[in-house]
Amino acid sequence: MTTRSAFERTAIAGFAILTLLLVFGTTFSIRRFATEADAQVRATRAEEAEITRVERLRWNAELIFSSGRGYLLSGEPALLAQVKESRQRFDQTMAELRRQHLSPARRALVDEAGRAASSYIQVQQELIDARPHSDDPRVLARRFEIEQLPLSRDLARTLSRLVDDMMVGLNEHYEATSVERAALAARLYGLLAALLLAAVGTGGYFARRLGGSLEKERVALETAHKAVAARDELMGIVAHDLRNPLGAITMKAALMRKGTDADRTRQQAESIENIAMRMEYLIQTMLDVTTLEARRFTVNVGPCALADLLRETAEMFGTVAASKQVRFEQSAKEPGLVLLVDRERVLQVLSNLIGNALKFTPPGGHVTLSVERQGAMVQFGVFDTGSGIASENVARVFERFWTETPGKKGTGLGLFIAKGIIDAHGGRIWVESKLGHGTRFFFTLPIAEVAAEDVASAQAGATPHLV
Amino acid sequence: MADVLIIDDDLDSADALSEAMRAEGHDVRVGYNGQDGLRLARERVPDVALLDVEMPLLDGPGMVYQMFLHDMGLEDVPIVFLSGVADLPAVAASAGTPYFLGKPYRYEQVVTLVGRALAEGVAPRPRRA
Repeated sequence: MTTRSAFERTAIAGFAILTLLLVFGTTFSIRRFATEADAQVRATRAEEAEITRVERLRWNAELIFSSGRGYLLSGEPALLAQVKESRQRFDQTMAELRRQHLSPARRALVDEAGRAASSYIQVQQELIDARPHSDDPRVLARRFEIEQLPLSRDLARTLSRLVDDMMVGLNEHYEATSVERAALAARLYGLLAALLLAAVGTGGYFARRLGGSLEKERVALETAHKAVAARDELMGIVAHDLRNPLGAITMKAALMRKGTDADRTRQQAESIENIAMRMEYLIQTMLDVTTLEARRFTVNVGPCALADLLRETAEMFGTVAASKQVRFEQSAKEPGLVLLVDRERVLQVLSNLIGNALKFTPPGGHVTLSVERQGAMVQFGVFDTGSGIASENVARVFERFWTETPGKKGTGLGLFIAKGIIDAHGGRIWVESKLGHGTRFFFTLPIAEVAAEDVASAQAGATPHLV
Repeated sequence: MADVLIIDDDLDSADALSEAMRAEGHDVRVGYNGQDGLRLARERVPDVALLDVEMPLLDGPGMVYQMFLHDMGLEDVPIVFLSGVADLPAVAASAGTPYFLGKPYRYEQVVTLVGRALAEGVAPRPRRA
């Protein structure tokens, strides 16, 4: 697992605290919402109960009025009982209403209703008391109507106002609670949304982080596998390519042991020497590849005369070219140039490129080494009239283990090393080729920044065997 | 005295081996890849063929396969594989020949093996067919 940065730790802690706060907030809000809703329901019930009591008052007043009138007209004792019962209920309800917690305005209205009711009842009682002694009950009824009607209207009006007032109050209450509920709900939804966002954010962050680290691990594993595969391949090549010359040496040594002809024995010894040198070259190649891959490859640059490089390559490849019936030509406009390079390494590149060119050029063709100045650099070109490289392979020639004849001759490391050497000089190497039209390799190397009078000495220093 | 065909793309190996075979009194011809080998074998059927495994153009097992499948009269030539490849026993088994020797080998080893191949004359039976 990858280590966490301080920023990540802070971010995670921040997320945790935020999420915790949101959870607390939401829980608190839900509780608030529930208690608030309960309180509102209770308050609404109380209001409704009050209205019911006022309605009962009105209903009982109505009964007192109609039963009293009926009794005065008919003298029916059942109606008188009804009046008494209704009065009792009225008083009872009034008392209940008074016990409630009422607003001052409402209490004033209730008191007014109480007063209106008692003055009405007082008059009614006088008439009822007069009933047994009256000759004409219609006179009493008449009086009742004249004296009682305004009083009963007063009472009814007062009670109506009380009901209206309560209805208004109830409506206000309804509205207030609905507004409050809406505000609470909005707050709750907001909190839930924030909680959801925080959860999504945290989840997304960790999912991405996990995905990223998994991807990193996968890439690292792949790289490790590739490295192991490359090393195995290199080991295979080393084993195979060293066994061939070792086999030859063993055989030649055995022949020397058995031989009697002195000349033949000398030839065999020479041959063993050459084979051993080629093994050394192979081992050097492997070491170069190893240092290149470890990015520890360095070159020891110094002044080096171009003429010296040209002469060396001509000596190296003149006879080989002739034996293959291939013409090897050199063209340099300014052979007096002095380069700032690692002489042995540049010769290694040149011999690799020219050796390849000779290998792939059929008899009758020619191989050219051309050199020209380009600003602060010198551009080398190695051209051949060989079979060329297929366009799909041109981009791959500098890759490790790439060969024109896969798995067969050559290690496929020469151009890989050549590119490493040129890169280490700060130069550039590239190839132009077309199947059937030959191949043109180019590379650039830096020119030494030396004064004209130093050139001669630099040249002398670089090529001591010429002097 | 036998007719020995040596095919190896490593010039030093081919050179050393042919010298050894000549020293043993054999008649030796040398080729540097499988195609060379087929051409030489067709010109004159050898008594034994000593082949490298990895070669350009046509490798050792490929050459054995060609000899077995297409060239009448070549399928009975005993084959000796001489190579530095790591899986030589498997290569020899798939080519169907009992004679193989890993590089580097000693002079006496290869002489003995070639002598055995000539005496027994077991022809290869490639599994690929």
